Amino acid sequence: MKQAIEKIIGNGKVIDRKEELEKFSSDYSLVISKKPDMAIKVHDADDVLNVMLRLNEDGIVVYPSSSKVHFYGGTIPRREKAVVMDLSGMDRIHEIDEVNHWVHIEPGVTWGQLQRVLETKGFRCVMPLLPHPNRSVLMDYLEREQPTLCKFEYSEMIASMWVVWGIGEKFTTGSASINTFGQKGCFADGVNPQGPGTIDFWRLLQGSQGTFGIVTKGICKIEFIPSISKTIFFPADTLGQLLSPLYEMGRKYIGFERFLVNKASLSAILGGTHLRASLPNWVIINVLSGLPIGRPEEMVGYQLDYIQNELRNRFPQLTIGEKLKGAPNGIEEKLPEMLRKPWPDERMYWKHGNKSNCHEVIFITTLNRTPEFVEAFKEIASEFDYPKEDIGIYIQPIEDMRACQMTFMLPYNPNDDQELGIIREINKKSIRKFINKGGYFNRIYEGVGEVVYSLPRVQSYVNYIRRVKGLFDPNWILSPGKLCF
Amino acid sequence: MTTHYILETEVKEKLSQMRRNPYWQEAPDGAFKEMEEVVGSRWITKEKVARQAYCGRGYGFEQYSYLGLSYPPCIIVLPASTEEVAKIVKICNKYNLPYLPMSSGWMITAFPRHRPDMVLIDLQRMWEWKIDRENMVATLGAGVRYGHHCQGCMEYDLWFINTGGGSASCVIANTINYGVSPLNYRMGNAERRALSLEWVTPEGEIAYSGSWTQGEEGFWGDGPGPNLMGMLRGLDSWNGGMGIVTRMSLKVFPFLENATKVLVPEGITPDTHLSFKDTDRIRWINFQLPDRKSMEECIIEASHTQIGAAWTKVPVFWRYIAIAKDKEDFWEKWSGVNKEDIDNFHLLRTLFVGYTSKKQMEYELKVCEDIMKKYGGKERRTRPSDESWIKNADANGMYMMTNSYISTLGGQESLRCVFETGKRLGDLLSRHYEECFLPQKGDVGWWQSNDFGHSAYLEFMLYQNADYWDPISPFFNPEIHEKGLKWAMEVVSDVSNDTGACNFFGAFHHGLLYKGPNWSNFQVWVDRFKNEFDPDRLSNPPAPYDPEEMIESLPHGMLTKIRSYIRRAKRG
Amino acid sequence: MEMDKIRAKPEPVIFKLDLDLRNYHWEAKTCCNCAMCKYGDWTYVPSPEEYDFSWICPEWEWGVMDHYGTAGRTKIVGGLLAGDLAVDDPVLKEMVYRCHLCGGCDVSCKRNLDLEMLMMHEALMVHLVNAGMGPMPRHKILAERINRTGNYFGKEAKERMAWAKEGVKVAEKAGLLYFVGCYAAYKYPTIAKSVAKILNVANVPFMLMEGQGCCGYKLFTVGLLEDVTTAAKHTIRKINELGVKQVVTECADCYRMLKVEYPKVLNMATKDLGFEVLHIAEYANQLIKEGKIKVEKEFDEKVTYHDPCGLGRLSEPWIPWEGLRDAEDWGKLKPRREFRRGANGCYEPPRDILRSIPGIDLIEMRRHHFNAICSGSCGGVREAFPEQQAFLTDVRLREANYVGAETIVTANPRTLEVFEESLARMKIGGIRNSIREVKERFIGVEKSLGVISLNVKRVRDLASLLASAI
Repeated sequence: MKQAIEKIIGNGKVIDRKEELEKFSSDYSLVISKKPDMAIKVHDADDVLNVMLRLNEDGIVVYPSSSKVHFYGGTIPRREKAVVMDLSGMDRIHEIDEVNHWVHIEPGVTWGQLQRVLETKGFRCVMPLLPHPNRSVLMDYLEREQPTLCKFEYSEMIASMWVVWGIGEKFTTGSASINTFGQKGCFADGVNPQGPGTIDFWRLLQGSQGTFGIVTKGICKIEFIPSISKTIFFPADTLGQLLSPLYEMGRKYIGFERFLVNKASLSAILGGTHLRASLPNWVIINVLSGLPIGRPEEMVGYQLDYIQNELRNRFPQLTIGEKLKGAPNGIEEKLPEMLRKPWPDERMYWKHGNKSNCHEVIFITTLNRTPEFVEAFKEIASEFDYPKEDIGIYIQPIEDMRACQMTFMLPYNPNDDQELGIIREINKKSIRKFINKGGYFNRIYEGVGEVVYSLPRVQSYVNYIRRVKGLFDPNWILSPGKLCF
Repeated sequence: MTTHYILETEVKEKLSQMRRNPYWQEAPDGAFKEMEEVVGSRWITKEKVARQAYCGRGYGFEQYSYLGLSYPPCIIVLPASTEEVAKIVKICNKYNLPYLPMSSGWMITAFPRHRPDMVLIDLQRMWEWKIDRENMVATLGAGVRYGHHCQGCMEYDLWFINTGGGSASCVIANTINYGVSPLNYRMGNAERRALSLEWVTPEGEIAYSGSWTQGEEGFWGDGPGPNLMGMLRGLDSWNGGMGIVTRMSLKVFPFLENATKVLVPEGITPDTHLSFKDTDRIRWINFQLPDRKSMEECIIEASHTQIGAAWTKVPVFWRYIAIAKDKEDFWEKWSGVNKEDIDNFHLLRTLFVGYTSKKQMEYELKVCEDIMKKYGGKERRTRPSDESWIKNADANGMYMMTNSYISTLGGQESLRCVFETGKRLGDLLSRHYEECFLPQKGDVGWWQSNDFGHSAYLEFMLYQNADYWDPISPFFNPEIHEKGLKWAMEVVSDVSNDTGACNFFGAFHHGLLYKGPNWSNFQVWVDRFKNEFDPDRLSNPPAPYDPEEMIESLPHGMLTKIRSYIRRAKRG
Repeated sequence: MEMDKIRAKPEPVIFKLDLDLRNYHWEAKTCCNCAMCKYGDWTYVPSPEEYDFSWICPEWEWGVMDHYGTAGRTKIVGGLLAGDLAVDDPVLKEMVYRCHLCGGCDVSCKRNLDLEMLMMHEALMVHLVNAGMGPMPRHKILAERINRTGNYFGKEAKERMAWAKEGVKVAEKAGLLYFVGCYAAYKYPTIAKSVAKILNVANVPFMLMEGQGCCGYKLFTVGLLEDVTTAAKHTIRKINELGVKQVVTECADCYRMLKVEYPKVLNMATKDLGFEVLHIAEYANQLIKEGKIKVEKEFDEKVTYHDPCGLGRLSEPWIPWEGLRDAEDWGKLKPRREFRRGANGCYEPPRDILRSIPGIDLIEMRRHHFNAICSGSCGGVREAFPEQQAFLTDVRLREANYVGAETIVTANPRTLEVFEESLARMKIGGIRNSIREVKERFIGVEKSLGVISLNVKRVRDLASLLASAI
């Protein structure tokens, strides 16, 4: 098989040495390690297509991998005799559309790489909270990482995509699907994510975790780098005190980057566990921004005015301000820039800083219910004597506070089997508990699928989505074992 | 002189020649009885009078391109719940009866265009409506319409788009199919507004998507895993050809506090409007730009500043519709307008909303002023009211001028793409096809900025003489009919293919098989999905297309070029 | 198929605004299904939570299925004219006569379009009668009674003016004729006396018509065109013989008949009647403005006003028209015509009267002015389909209740009757029954169905109320 593949993509592109395959066999997740038989390093969409066709012939199972670092087990094989398709080398940035504000990138393009290039043009990515610089931008969007930029009622972060379906067919989704796209005389810029035709391929691809097809290029949304920013902090003792202000700021479109963290998370972001002693229990961070066109100072001005004159009066018990007590000096100036770049490569990733790994329980709920989930999680953690003060909590409003993504972060030492065992148990228990409480898991990671896909109301979904998979990947070679496949 | 041009004998003769099926077809007794057990005798009928009432003649263009061949359904049934809908669909499957869902009946697909053996499932009893004000989510049943929904949202200081299709459109059906409004500027695409779904599949199963898969609250969509809604809603719509969505939760959006005191219905018909009682917090403003280039550049820059709630350019003759007392008045006024007037008239219509505060609106207006100064835009007198986009979207007013109307292109792409496409269509229409339609005199259509300029939308509408296009009418004009069909089916498609403005009215105007090969052969996937989930073609055939039926039913509506495309298109 | 062979040589097309159904093929074929005939003006529709208060078409709200509404009816007319549907279909008759001819659809449609939906409905009833298929059996009995006795109730004709025998000053001859409706004459004589009192107090001499009969409203609204035409000719002649310049009535139906439907069936203009037709609401309002009557008594009540169809949207003067619909010029009508869109109905005078009475707190229902739903009493529905009428009146009364009214005021005695009956039902638990009936139809409506306490205490006639207050 190696020779057959090398014939397609060239020599030296297929890795089958055990030590080199290590990096594909495990990651920061709880997924049990399994080594693939080989890793295929593809260069472009034609490689992907031709490889897929060949793998289909023999029914060889394949797991695509785009990022250089993995947190959720996505690329670890779930079957024997599997291969990994490594797309990290497909890292070209094809075009920056400065008129419509999009960028055309391949799946191997990482946050670090992309942001460095965009900055030169005055643009920024729409980023989740301090992503790892070596994570694939496209993959993070497809995995539903929520951006900190929750100001907009977002249409998609990705518009059109180029994909190779599991069946071994190339396809383009969205408005770039016109056959003459990019040619002279064609005015399409690929900025409509819908279709083509009656299927919304976008919606089927997102969240599919590489089980329907392999995305080989995508058109992603970008925004201006603000020319002015002002960070406002809303510290509080209890989470309950911050719900109303957060709702209101969403309704009133105040701020660009806006999120809520507890002290454990914030200390990890700002420099370490030693800060926990001085930081408030909870804080909303809201970055008011002015765009480089228009009247940036005034743009910040009216938002600040609202905070100072309305929110302060309505929430007198909160110490709303431009400085955060207990935080390192100058953090209010540093934060906006921090939030518009990925985590610095040279530093240990902030989630791992405490114990070198961190498990996340991620789900969607409504803000008003978050305190219940916090209490429930703490109860579970204490059943296993997991230190409460280590639990990082991050609440990301989605689109102006319509719902929020809630993340519980559990730092742990992966080399300590006992700790690992505790984390697995907490994961399992919390998923069940949260689903029973009405939390919604739409990112199906380790431990989530077995609970979610056994729910009665999901059974029809499972039936139909499996049949959809049967259309895109009739030989079931793409990422079997993931989701409900 | 005749009283009217239709004499019964003439019509009967024509129809008997045109119809390929008997007009009335009876459903199997067993099917009727089983459905009656599901809904109760009050909510099902096979009386001819009732069936005739559900026999539409289409939505403008279609009534003619399909030769007005609409048949009455064989059964009409009004279920009250998703479970009842599912049982009905299962019965249809059992008896091999095609069915079609109808929410509002406002569009072509609400009527059985080609077949007299269809069961019409009228969803208008499903009127659930709940709103979670805090989390900005509304839960709706299939019958709920935009007009009501918009009022309901405002009572909670929220709002929602009101679609170009009009207040009569049902929210769920429109969201699943189109969902375009100038308010898409901030409210995003329709598919992104939909959250959880409750769906009766073509097989009669009930499937959920979004947070309804895991609980009773519909606060989120997307998942678990891939989003099943992807099967239901692409660019083109299935128009009921992939089962029936009976319930949906949707986003609703922040609006002004005490909204119903700020936007107050006023006026006596026909001059009713939502009066803006606080123009420091909400205003429409019309700006006249000196030339097309300025207008285009202006909207790009304005979108980049992210100010406003809507930026749109409407066809000039819409303004004449708005001020006309009646059809004759419209024509009197419109006849005095020439191409040069259109070429020199560049009006941008903008909506500003002080979501945050009066100061926020002041800021946005200042930025707008800066932009207008740069591009030479002049503010024109604008009424402090809304007649067309917030609660009353009077799409039915489009029928006033000619009693027949259709949108031939609904394209969503970038601003430069919609600019170019509109220009070409306006130019081609005025130079070569104007005699077939209401003369638009080179107007480039309705376009708007979406999603803060990240994308844009163009709609190009046509208004044909209701009689010239009706084969039953003595005034039927086959030359104009054929030429007009050529425009609508070929020329618009060709322009759309050239410029890349993907057209979501493709399903019933041009046929997906005509378009598909130019757009990555998507028709292959449409076929695959249809073959997998509705192989017997029971869910609203022939939507979105059925090539065999189209070729057979449209003998002279199917032009040669289109036939050849359909025959050549790869199938899945 | 060769279309050329089918194409007939086009002839010019006459369009006449009369009750020949063939004139409404245009309506049948160009209805675009926009549902304004179902819900009225979108600008005014209420929230989905008040769904049962959002309908303009009473028949459709009762029946729900589309053949009960105008949009569906246009397809039925199209089917009849094309020969696809037989006129002797028994369901057809039953369905056609469920229409109240309230004009809600007509006015709503005309907000944006130029279609004559009410005319189509009226012509459809005439069509059925001409085909021997209408009206309903109970209408036939009623028509016979009216023709025989000259009144709706079948009572002695000479009793029509019995109310005027005492306490009322009637002139032998005057410039103003009081045309007394059957209901005021025979069922609610206090209303007739109230009208007289208003005029007497204002020192406005008025006369009565000897031998006055029924206006023929119930004959018209079931398609008995011949009978109505006879009544119209007779009544107009008699009024003109009296030499009066103005005719006032307390009944919205008589008002509609005299002002609009008589000219319609006689193909003449309202302005050519020879006299002006006024409702007592218009007349009395003018008297108040001129200071001829003074409102003194206080009524401490939360009042809502129900716009009767005949007095409101249907009351614009009739303008006959005949011309061409030029199919080769976009279907334009030639010559141009003026459309009756309901803009100038009598909406404000009744409200002005109510506002002039001290203590009255005037509250609007969700549906009001041109957008008011029929009480259910219009047309021949009450006689043929009493359960439909009762359902609709109950919904309307609940609407008044919902907005917090204690009193419903109307300016039409027949409407008063149905509201009184409805209120009586509500007082013995009918409110729950009405809610149940709506819930059976529309699944999910909650807010408007959540008010089960009854705050409406009474129904009043406008003239009677004013007479009590002066």
